Amino acid sequence: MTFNLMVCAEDHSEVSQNDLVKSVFIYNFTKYIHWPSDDTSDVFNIGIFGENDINIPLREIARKKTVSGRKIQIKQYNSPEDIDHCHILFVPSGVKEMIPDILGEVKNKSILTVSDADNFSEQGGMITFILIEGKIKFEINIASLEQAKLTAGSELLKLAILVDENK
Amino acid sequence: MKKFRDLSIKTKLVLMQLLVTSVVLVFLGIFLIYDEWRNYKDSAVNQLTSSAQLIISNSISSLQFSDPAAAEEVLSSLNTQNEIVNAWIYNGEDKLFAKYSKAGYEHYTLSKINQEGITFSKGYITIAKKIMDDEEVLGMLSIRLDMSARWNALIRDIYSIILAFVAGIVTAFLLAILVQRKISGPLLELTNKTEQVAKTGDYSLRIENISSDEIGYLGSAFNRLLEQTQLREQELSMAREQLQIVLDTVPGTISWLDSNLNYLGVNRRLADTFGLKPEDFIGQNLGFKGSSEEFVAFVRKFFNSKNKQVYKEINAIIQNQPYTHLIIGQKYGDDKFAVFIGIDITRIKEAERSIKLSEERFALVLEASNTGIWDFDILNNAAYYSPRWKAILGYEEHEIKNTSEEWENRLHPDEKERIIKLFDDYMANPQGQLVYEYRLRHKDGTYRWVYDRSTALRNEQGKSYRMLGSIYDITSRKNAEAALQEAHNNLEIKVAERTRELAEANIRLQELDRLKSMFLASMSHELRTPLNSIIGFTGLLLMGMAGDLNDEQKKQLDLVKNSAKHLLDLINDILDISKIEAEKIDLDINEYNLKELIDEIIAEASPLVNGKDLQLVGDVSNDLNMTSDRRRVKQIVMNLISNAIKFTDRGSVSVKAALNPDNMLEFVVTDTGIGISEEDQKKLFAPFQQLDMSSSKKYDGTGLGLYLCSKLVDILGGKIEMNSALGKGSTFTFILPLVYSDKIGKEKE
Repeated sequence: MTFNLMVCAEDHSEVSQNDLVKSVFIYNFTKYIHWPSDDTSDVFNIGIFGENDINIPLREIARKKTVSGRKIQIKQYNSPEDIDHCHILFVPSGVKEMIPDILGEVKNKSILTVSDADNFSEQGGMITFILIEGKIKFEINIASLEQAKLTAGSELLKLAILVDENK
Repeated sequence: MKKFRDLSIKTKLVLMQLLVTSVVLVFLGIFLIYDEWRNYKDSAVNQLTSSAQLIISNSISSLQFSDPAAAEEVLSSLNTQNEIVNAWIYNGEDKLFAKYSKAGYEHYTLSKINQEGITFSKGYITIAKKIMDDEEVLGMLSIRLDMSARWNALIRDIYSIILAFVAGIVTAFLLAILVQRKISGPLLELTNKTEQVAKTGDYSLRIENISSDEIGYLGSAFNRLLEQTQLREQELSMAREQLQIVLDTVPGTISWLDSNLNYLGVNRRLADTFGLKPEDFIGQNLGFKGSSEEFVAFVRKFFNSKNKQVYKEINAIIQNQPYTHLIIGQKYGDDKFAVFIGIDITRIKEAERSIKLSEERFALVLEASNTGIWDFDILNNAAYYSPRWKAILGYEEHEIKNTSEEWENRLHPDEKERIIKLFDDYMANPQGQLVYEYRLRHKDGTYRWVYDRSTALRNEQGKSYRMLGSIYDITSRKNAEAALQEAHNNLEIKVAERTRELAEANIRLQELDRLKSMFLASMSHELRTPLNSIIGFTGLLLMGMAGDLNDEQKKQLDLVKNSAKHLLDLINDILDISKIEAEKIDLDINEYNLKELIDEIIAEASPLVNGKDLQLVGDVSNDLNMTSDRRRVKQIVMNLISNAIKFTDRGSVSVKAALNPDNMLEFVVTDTGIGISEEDQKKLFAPFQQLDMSSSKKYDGTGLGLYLCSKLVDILGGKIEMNSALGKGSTFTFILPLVYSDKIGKEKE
């Protein structure tokens, strides 16, 4: 993808291909997800729970890109209580024990939750990266989205594997 | 192949319409085809563009989330469009992301396209478009469309257009043929009429059925042209006739030639000079018989020169006649032709020569005649005196000026006033010549008499403006006249005296002569009476009335009779002469026939011929009548004939009478006798003259006959003369008026 070159130009330590794809996907989600219109913040916050390598490519994107004209700010949370106002929250698979707490914390907030942990969707997460035949795909839990008053564009839904936790 | 220009108007019209139609149709066809093709292409491009747009908008997410299957699904929607045969999507890393191929087009591969655009190649259109999200290029879409179906449709369209084209051409051709008849019909008539006019020169032809369009206008213009041409032609031929008349009337010869020395024309006078007609010259080269050699040489030289105009006198012999012509040549039209006018100055030249001759002669005569000439120019008070005039007065040429005073001042004081008055009077009213004599002072102071003969010249108003005269020195004549006058005066006195004496003597002599004649007249009569008795009785004796006579007696009596007869003749002649001289002769004038008279004379004279070898001939026409004294005429002729017979022994004696050219009767008596010597002829008609006295014995006569004859001829108003030579016979000729009149007789007296 197009960020490849940019990332390579950085002097940071090696970033894994998967992290890169994930970070791009996260950015691209902003184009298909609609947040409630009462959001008046002038900064688009992307939160990362705990230490994770993905923050390198995400910070790179944040440096260069905007979302609907708003600057992107990367926030790092180390405990569920830290989580404050953000638009997207990435939960790496390394903290999957804390997923129920985190999801409980953001419940009823318009925060798009994304994770690469198994069963994230089953636990009430909104978008989950999965690896199919070596390629990164993603699941969407529409019910969770609706609960958080978020909507997803049909284009996105068409590409996603849809999960319904009620089933 | 014919050039277009030479084609008939009919063909031209058809061809032009066909050409126009073809061009329009071809352009239209090309435009239609092009437009159609462009439509096909544009619609193909539009189709491709909209398809691409659709594909792109539907494939962005598949690219963003690296889902080729989704992309291919999007691409597979293209199968609803038959012409789109291939589609490819390359991702941002230039890797083939998704691909679509219609059945039968799977083998086709596309190399990566990096730029947006539309390419046409081998019946296909390929559109390449970037797939973008915001500013971000996600990949590249290429769609390929097969144009063959549209191409086939286009070819079908072209077939239709060609079919329409052919139909259009055929229709246009048929229409053109129909239309051209409307246009070329009148044009053909115009052409035919033009040709007819050109061929026949008949300008009275006209175009009929004139329409009101441009061709009709052409027709009426043609008619007007013909009308004007006809008019011009008439004017031209009239002008030509007039020109010919003028040329022929000009008192000179006119010819005009082109620079090739060919005659373009001549006037009649020139042609007449050569005995030719003007037409004979046209087109002939200069050297032909209608040009003199001198003219040929002149014209050649003129054309070879750079002169525009030339004058020359040419002498030439034409038709054996010498001519002098003054020729004027003038080149015209860039020297393309020249006109020559010749004036016959032969007469003028002759006149000049004769004037010159006569002037020279006159000058010589003047010089020789000692005549001095003067000439007064009265108006300018100038005068001219000839050298001789000055010489008469002893002056050299330069010593007398050319003024009239030189003359006036030399007049004699005694007569100066008179001469000047005479001169002025004559000038005031000149009648004939003024001839006068007067004196002029010589250089040596003496006066010279001159005889002056002068004439005044008058202008139209009758005023004398010039006076010319000649003087002649008559001084010596005047002197001689004076001397003569004196001698004359003396002589006249002497002559008067002598005349008076002579007149007295003359009167006495006349009286004496008259008395003599009277005496003779009366005496002759007295003498004749006894002689008649002697002759009568001698005759009786010879006839033997008084008894026979012997030969000796007869011979002696013959002598007596002849002598008596001779004496009687002599007396008769003397009587006649004396009557004539006494002016007592009486004439008995009657009309009578001359032939009868001559016959009578011949008859009476024939006895005289006895014993001679002589022929007596009378020659006079029957119808000649004469009015005169018959007896006297007979006497004259008889006398001449008897004389002739007397002196002629053999040959002939003839008498001829006829009218001469002056309407006088001419009598000619000719003999072949002894003739008369020149010396004797002088005294022939004198009285009592017998020629050659020694021969008087042989030719006895009275010697009065010819004298009497001449007197009688004289009285009858005639003339006698003779012509003879010794030994060659004599001819006596006398003429008498056919009708005697008193007047003639009296004039003679």
